[in-house]
Amino acid sequence: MTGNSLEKTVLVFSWTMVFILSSSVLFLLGHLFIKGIPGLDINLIFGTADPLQVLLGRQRVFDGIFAAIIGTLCLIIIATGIAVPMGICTGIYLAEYAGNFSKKALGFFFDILTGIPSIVIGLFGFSAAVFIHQHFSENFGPCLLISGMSLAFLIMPYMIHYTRVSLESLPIDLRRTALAFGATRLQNLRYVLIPHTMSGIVSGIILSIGRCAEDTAVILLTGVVVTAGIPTSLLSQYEALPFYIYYLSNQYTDQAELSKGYSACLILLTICAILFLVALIIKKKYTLKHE
Amino acid sequence: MYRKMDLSLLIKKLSCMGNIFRLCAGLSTVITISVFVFMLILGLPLFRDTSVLSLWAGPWAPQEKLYGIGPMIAGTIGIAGFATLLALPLSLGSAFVITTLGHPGLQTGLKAFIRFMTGIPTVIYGFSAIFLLVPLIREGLGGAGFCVLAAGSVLAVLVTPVMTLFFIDSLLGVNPVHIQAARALGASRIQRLLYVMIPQALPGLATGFVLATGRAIGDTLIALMLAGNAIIIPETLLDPARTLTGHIALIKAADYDSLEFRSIFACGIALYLFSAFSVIIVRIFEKKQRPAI
Amino acid sequence: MNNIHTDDKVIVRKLQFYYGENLILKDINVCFAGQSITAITGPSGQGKSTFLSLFNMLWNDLSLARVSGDIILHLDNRHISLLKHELPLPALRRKVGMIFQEPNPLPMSIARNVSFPMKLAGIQDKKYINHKIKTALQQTFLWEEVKDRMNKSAMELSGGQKQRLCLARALVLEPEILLCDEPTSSLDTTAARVIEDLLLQLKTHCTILLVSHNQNQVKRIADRVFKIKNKNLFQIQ
Repeated sequence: MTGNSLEKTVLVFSWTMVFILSSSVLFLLGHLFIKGIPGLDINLIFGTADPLQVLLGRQRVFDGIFAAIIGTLCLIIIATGIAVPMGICTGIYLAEYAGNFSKKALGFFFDILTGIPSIVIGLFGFSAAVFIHQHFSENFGPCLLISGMSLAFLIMPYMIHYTRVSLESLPIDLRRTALAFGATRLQNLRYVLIPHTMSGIVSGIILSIGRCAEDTAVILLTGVVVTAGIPTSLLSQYEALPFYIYYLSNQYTDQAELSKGYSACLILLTICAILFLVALIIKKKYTLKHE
Repeated sequence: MYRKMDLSLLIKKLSCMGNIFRLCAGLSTVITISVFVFMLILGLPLFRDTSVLSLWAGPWAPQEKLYGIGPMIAGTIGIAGFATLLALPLSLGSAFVITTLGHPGLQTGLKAFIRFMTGIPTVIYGFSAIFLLVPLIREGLGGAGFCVLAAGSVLAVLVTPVMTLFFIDSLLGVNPVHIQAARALGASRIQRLLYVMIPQALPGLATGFVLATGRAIGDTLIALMLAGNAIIIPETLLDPARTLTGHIALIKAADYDSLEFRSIFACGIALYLFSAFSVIIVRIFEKKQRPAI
Repeated sequence: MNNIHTDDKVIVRKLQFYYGENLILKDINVCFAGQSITAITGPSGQGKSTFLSLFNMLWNDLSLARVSGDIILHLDNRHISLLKHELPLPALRRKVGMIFQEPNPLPMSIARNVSFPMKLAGIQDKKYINHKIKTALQQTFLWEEVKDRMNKSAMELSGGQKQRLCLARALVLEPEILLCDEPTSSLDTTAARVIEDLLLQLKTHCTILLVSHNQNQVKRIADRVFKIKNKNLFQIQ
């Protein structure tokens, strides 16, 4: 019976695929956990320095990942500081103000921006840095500012998308209610629409933060280095956690260093997992509110 | 009277937030275009000196002044192609189980697992695979271990969640009336999936495939860490290769004004065009899916 | 289950239907005779469609639904208890067919629509399939209208034609019970009358349960009439 055998094959196939996928992921992550958990202690972060002194700024950390964590934090702040307001405003424009043609044209451009590989964005940031170096200031080069801005370009399309989708998925009656009472578009946005989409937008912000934390390709080209300490200014070079991991995979000198790499992986994974869970919880609260 | 009110409202609108929104939108568009333009400008010296064909398809031999990024294009196609082909059955199977075949509790759990996978940093996959997968390949299949197979397999795992989530949305987006009709006729779960859901969801499935391909082509770290980065055209799965993305990451250390260096802009343009092209294809597919009864 | 001595086709005992916290149907005890048209009527929102969906277990995709009591169907000369899961659902739905208020042909050709139940049942004999398709379409007076466009999409038919197609599709495996959930509400009067005539003809082969809020229709074709009121079922007429 051909009908039955097709159905049976698809059944067996599907379950096999699920099995292969889950076991591969569990292998890759499990390996990380096994090798990384032993190395997780306060020394990983602060090295041989005293944590309190470091936090007060009186001591430098030489063999810990403290600087890398701070570097990643700075990147996140700069990138989201630029991309979140711009992205939300653009998303609002697309959802509420744009005419049909603008919507399609802009939507097309932003889809392209979303699809641009991260390394190309890094390349763009690098080119911008070189351009300024050659034409404006000899002292300027790839640095925290350039990396932050490039990361902003990376996450902006996602912010635009989340904002736009959150606004557009509001029930049409809700979108029209305040307008029917004579509110202007801006008042409608401020008092009705944005409050209702807050959770969607916030969870989008958190996902973007996660993207900044994990990205390596952009920062590779725009100023991350292996040892730079805590960034002293926007124009200085800096360290970052994902780059530390990448660098270690290539250039580790002994088992102890390698084990640090595994533990650093776990820290990065935990940071991203927490961000992801927070975004999920916020989104869940949102859907419950509107049942 | 109506026109007058309209006008004053317009003026009010223009002089406040609406303008800011419009500005942001404009800025974002400008950035998208300038990414492309910048690369064109900076890659110009290279384009002036070499013919188009030898640039894109030719070999790479700096000593002989040959700066063809052909091997890198081959590397990208090989690794990303292998990854996407591997990811396709994995995603289909997972999507089938999550939308219909599994027990409801399993469906939710599996979907959450897949969602979680999208949040796992790329560099972590690479790091773990270097010390887990590469030795395995080296001992089991020979070669150096750093090859298309290693990079492609891990890339497949990276790309599968994206594809699967898209497939799930497409399958679940099929008109529920048709599914209800099939149920009333006595269709089992797999029958509903095979004869009603999949045929209706085909455009969406194609879109998901194209999107995942774009993601695979654009990834830097997996290939950089696992594929060996040799500048050759890979002929078997066990050969090392270098991707366009990896090339950009590696060459930046070279002398800034050299033509060798400028080749990374050629890579950048190739990548930009690849991704723009896949966006266009996706749009065409989405238009096809619109007329769903 | 074999201590039931009755010719009734459908037996409902102490049935309760809950949706979440809400009680929709309360302590229903009723029997429906075979080879007749039994109508269930009443104001909308009282649970008529829910009640109907009990007989082919179509309600079980609602996660909040709970049922207690029992429903026994006389199929294949046996008495089968639905709620004790004595028959697998695909098999049940081949014996108990259903047509809906909105005609719902599948997005396939006319021929494939009618042959779909046979494909699901694993029937492969092409000659047999074609014969059954023709018979079913003739039964619903659709054959002459569509015989030249069997491979065209079923979505292009008119409302009345679609409903006759759905009826043909429901009949192709010769079910013993046919559930009709307001089958003519979305049709114009002429098309509605055609369906009513078809049902009258079918009742000799088939036990028909009809949900309808159209009093005239019920008067025209029903042998017995029940009404759902206050979460319970009462016979009238």
